[in-house]
Amino acid sequence: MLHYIIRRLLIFIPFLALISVVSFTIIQLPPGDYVDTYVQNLQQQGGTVNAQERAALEKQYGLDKPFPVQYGVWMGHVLRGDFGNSFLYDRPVADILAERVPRTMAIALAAILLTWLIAIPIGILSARRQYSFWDHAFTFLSFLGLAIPGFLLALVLMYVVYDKTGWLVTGINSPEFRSAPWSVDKAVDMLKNLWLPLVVLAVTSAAGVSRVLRASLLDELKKQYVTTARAKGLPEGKLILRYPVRVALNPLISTIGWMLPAVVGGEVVVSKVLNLPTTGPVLLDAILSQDMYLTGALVMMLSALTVAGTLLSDILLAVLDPRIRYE
Amino acid sequence: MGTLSARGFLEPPALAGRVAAGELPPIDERLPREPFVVGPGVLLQQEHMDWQDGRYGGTLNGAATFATGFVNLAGGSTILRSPSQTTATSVPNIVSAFSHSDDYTTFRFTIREGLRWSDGVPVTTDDVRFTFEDIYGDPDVQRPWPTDLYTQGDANLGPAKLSVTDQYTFELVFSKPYGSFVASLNSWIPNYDIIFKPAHYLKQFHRKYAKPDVLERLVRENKRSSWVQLLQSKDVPHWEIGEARAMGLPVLNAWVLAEATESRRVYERNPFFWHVDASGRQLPYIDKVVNNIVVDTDAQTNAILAGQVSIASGGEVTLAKMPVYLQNAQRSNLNVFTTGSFNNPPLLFLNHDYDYQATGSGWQKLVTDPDRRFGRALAAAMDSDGVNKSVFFGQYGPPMLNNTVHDPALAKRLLDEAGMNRLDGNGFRLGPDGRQFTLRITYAAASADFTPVAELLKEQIEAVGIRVDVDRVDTTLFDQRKAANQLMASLAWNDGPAWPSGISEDYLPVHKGPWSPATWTYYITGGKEGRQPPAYLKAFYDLHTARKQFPPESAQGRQVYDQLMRWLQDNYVFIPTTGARTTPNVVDKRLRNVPKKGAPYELDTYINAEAMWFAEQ
Repeated sequence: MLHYIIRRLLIFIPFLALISVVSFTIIQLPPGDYVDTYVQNLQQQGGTVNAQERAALEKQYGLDKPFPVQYGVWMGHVLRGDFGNSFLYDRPVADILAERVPRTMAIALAAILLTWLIAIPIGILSARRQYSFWDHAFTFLSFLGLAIPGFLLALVLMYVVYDKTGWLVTGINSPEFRSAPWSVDKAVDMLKNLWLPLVVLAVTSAAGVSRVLRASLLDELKKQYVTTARAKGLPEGKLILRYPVRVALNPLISTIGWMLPAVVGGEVVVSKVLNLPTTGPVLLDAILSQDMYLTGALVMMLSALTVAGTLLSDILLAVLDPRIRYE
Repeated sequence: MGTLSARGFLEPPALAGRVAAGELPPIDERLPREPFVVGPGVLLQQEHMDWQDGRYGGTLNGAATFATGFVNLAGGSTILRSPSQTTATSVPNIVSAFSHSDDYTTFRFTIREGLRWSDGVPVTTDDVRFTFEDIYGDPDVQRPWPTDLYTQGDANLGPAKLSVTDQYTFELVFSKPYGSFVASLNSWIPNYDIIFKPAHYLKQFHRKYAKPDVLERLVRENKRSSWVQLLQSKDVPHWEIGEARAMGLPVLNAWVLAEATESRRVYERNPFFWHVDASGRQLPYIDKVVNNIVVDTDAQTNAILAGQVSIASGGEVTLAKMPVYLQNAQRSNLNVFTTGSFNNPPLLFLNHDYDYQATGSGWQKLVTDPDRRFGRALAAAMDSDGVNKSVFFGQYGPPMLNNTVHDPALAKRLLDEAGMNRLDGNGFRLGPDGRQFTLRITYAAASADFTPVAELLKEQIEAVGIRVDVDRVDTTLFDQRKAANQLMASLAWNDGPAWPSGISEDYLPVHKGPWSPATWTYYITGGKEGRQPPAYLKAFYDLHTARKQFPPESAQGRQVYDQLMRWLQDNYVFIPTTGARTTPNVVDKRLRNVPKKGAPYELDTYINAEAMWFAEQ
């Protein structure tokens, strides 16, 4: 097992190097560069940039050099742990990530937890009482959950809440608390704002998860070991939770691999709608304005998390399911 | 009302504590010998604003998608000041006296004696000398001359020469008459910082003045790779005054950046701002400006509707959302009104350089037709009123420039005469060269109205038999095609209403939609590259250079401008899709000294924010 983990980790390094080349190339593919974006913004506000000023800007951002040189410079800095400065935010990329990634992780982990809290009981109930009233009711609800896009649910909920109560759910904190030090009031304010994105994220993903759990649990419940255990007189609750549910959770665990990057991608659309300062909107803005260092760092990070997440779920599966062995 | 000081001023309560603690000199010592007095008709013409001397206090809240936000254009810290977006009055603003030679080559300025930067350091000619010699004049700094400081805005004619008389007086000398420089001095677009930079602050980042070891430490601390990059980042242009790197930068604006976090920017009143009202209050009336950063325009709209924003105008609001602003006006205590705009609605640009190197080009035959029948036909085919009613609720103005008559029959006749009288299999007209003809209109949607307008144009122009392709592209691609002279026709905005005053001249051939990018290259490279303009286009460049000689709103300036407008009208280089723009403004109901409904420019709502104050309700 240990040997396996080390091997996987070693493959990780050349893989990341490859990702860095690919992501840097992709960033360069669209026409133009950050200076174009900058000049356009300035022109939209009424300013002008003459040819000399433009050339100076390109030099300032290092965009006057050929592509391989730009990559070399970037990689050189990355290897020394310096992700460069974001053009768009005019701040070190590392600072932006340090600010946003923990916040995004916290929101997303809370959302995953909430998803499981909702989905697992529903999945078990639906499978145990297949075709009962509750199974039908939850099936109907989860189809609704699957069909409604998260951003739409967010918009509708936001509108309803605002229209009924006059409370605008926006951001992590209301404007008056954004720069205030932490206090009970600020925490209450945060809960007043944050429940909505959490509910939106959890409800839309719980719908899918509960369906998956129901299906795999149904398969298990028909198996002979369940019948045998019942015949031996094992209490029903203990039996279900200890054996078939444990096996039926496998699909959930193997999805951790792609849950992690989705977490940092930060549910872009929901974050946009609800004005959440997570990594999602930053990634989108960085790509749109061709802020190449910021995009590069985020893409690298997302890729690294995908790989790490896959490894994590592989290990967890091996730990939780004695039937799975890698050697 | 408190007690007046010896000089007759009223200390703002927000600063009284700091004055009492000795951290700040009292108001009499903070204001220049002659402060700039703001009253009726100074910032905005009297008919557009009912001026009332105000009271101190309050916070102006904004919501912007970018750090600086439009609010911070506020302050009117231009070198000269004329009401609204005009340039004729030219009252000395940062300076106390201003004069020019009769031929407009020499401009003489006297800085207001006792005028101070926001950190209390006096403004002197050393700031100007530093800006000219050590910023623009030092090749190592890599900060090229701004266009406004070139003689006639033309790099080939060289930049202004500075001569300093004494601590307060200096002269700028241009190599040719450059009367339109007066417009730059009045305009918030170049603002004060093209001439005045805080030398005492920026010197610490300049190799010529800083100790090498200290400078090196500063470069490291600020995470820059060289002193040049450090200086460039600290010399913040006024567009970016809300960026975190502007913390500590002394300014001449009404408010000074005091907090820059990821989620908001806070500006506090500039204790040394040199504008006062007639009753002795120092402007701005409002103590604080808070700009909450939102992720996108929808979040911005939500914040406006929920009453979290005290002032929203310009690009932050759109006419299409007018119903929801009004719907929420009462609940959120908003004053919603419409004004004119700094921008024209989308114009249709026809590129006179498109295909100019191809022999026998049908397009060139059409655009160079001496009678401009193709342009006239398009204008007659376009239904300005229809666009106004369908897209802009009928709120935009009457047809303008060369799109005043909607007459499809006339359009058809003109096209027949222009050689487009043969049809292809689908009933569309062939080009004058007998080949299939498609009018390709390219645009990058700067706002949501472009697509419906483009679709309507397609319908209207196809109704007279011209096949139209509408091509929406990304802004970057649009600019690239523009630079490569690949755009046949395009849709774009511009600052039309600000042309007469000279504040904007984006009628120029490539500034918004391209109408002659290749001859413009020829013009700015002094004939080294690009297309030598044919006689009719050369007439435009002659008018352009002629206009540069006079202040735009002088008698001669107006005369040349009229000729220039006539040229633009008659040559159909662009055609308005509808009449003048109307745009909403949303402000807190308690705010006073706000422009009135129907005021000419939405930008004035921001630019005059120093004058606004909160009435109790």
